[in-house]
Amino acid sequence: MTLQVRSWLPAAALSRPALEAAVMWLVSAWARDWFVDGSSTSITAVASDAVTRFDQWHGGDAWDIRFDEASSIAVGAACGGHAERQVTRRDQALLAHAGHAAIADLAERFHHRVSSGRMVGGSHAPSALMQRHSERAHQFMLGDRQIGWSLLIACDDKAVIALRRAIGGANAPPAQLALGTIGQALESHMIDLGALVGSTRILAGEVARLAIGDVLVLDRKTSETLPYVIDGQSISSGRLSLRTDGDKVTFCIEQPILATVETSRS
Amino acid sequence: MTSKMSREIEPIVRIRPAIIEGVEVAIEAFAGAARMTIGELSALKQGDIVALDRSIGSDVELRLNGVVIATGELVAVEEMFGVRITAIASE
Repeated sequence: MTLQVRSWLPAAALSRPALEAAVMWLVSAWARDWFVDGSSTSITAVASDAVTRFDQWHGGDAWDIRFDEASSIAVGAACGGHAERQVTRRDQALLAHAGHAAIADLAERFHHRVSSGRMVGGSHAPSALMQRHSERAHQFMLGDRQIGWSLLIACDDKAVIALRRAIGGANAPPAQLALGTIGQALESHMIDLGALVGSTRILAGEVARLAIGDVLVLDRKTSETLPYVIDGQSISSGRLSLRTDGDKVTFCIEQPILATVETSRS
Repeated sequence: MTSKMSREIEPIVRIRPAIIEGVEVAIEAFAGAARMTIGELSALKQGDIVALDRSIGSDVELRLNGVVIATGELVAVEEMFGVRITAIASE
């Protein structure tokens, strides 16, 4: 069976080695992830064949990509312009294309069905996909005029991460901050970041007798970096140094506060 | 037993000042602060510059349990940071 996946590409695919490489990588990576019986040898062959069959679509800014069903789904995920919205319906983005819808369908069929998580999908999905998920296809309107359909399927975290890898194309996936879900929920929460130069321990009686002109020697060398202090809590993992910028004193981040983790590509 | 002890120990009305004066406390010196969201904080990377709420020459704050007790200028005492007190908090 051959499906047609229509996705937007910024330029001629074969004139862009990075894009071609992205497609190659994605086809094999997706297949490894999602096809139980996918062997790397046969997948590479599929990918190689797929890339040679890019045909320019009318308009010059979009392409028809014709592959067999499995690889068309994978290739679709490689193409830009995607939609993603949370179950809470926040961050809705309706401008979307086939890739997400296709890969969400793939995730659901080959991985497992999930009832929660993020709603992933897009418009311009192949008609076969729309028919398969007709109960979840959304018609969107411009005034009273129908301008298209989108398909949104719940995907678990693994599928969402894989989608983001797809958007990244051939580039290495970006390091993700180890904030996690709770951290993301608190992203807009305001905090005070303090520059603790140092401290000293003295007797309370000496505190009471402190006078103007007295010098307190702190426990930190002038050559040392300083720890972050957030809401009174010293965070030892982050370091900074004091510098000047014009008439302002500034922090210079010597070590970010949160350890970063690299998203696995395998 | 209890009545014997109560007779032997002299009733104390107040904690002796000498005891309090002998308690060690930590004083912290802050050069300034910046207010930002957790999202902005998490996006900070090496080499980024964050402006503090103080100008060059501004005094640093000396805090005892988070309460500002004095301010002073940052000085170097040999290889260590130090603070020369320029003002004592009035309240």
